[in-house]
Amino acid sequence: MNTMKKRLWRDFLILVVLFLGAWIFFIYNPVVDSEVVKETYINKEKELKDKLVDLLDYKIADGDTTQLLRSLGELKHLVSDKDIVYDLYYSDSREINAYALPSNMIVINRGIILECDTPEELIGVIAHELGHLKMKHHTDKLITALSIELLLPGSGSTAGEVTKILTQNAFSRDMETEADDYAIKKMKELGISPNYLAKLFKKMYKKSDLIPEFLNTHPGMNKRISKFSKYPFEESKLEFTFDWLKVKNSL
Amino acid sequence: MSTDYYPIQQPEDLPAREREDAMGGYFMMFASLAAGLPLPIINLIAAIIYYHVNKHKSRFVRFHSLQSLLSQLPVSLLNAGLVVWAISFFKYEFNFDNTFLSYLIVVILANLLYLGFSIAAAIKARKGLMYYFIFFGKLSYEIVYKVKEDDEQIYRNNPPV
Repeated sequence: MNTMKKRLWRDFLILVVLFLGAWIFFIYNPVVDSEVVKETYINKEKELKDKLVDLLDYKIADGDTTQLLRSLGELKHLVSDKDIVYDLYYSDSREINAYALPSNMIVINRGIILECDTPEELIGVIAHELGHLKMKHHTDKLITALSIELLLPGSGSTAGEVTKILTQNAFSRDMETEADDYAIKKMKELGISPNYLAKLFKKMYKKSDLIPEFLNTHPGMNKRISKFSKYPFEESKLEFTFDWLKVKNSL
Repeated sequence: MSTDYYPIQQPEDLPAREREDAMGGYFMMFASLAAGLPLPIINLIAAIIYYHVNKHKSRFVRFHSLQSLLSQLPVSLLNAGLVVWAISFFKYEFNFDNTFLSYLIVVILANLLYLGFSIAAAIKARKGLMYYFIFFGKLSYEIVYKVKEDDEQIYRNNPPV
């Protein structure tokens, strides 16, 4: 081995040792306590979540305040998953919609509650949104969208893009299908026929603007209805402490 | 096998244009800032393009562009590692511990060192001087200035037979 090669190897080893040495040094001599950073991050996340709830006037289910929130709280306890802790919120919006937000939030609009003839239908909706949270679709969406944005530089700051992606863009069709599959699984676990959701979709379909299937991020409504209709309808044996009709009338 | 090296040009032999081209190799690190994005791969792509466009100009220009390109590789890898690690927090669990924090500090230091050395090298290159980074300087010198057997081969034109 000639002298230059030896020098190259020596320099290379010096760099590797310097890198690993510095890394190990800072592990054992931390400049900032990582636990403090972690706690600050969690507190900030909670603070942002509270601000969002205040701003959009969401009301948390589980609260002992009204019949509606108590009944939603009961449904939330039914639709649980050992891997995920989430909060269920009620929004006074008339739009027939429900959505999952980062920080494990599920929001149910007044519009969709009024559309549900039975609490089982709403359980299906909550289970679908929980599927999005469980499969971390927000993160996937963010990573995909940011990768595209970074590879094809456009206008706007990264922070602005993140906000836009998280709040405006819909989930992809594949993600919606995954969430539907999760809802089916969850409903079966609870002894509820997935056909309940088919009923809700049929009502929504009648009221929708009939967006062409290829333009819609949700799998085509017809396909969804057929998917959930495959399961024979059986009356659910679940018992609730509230009267659903009274809950709806209270809205 | 030859162990000879081509002579290194001296500042007085280097035209201003070559000095500027050599300096330009180091300024590719600002490419991503110009694009408005903190993405390490843009720097790297810009450096690769710059090297290929300028490598035939002179050994001096080629050396500086190659040194800039090679020294960017580990920094870009470290930055990419940081991005992947940070994304994993959101995808899996927010496991922010000392190992990650130390890595973050080391990566910041590596970027600062790289930035400092690049600016110093760019100034030297503008003056027509060589500037050797640890490891990457020697490696670039070896690649650019070492006489290869192919370089020594003399091609002769002959009439048709």
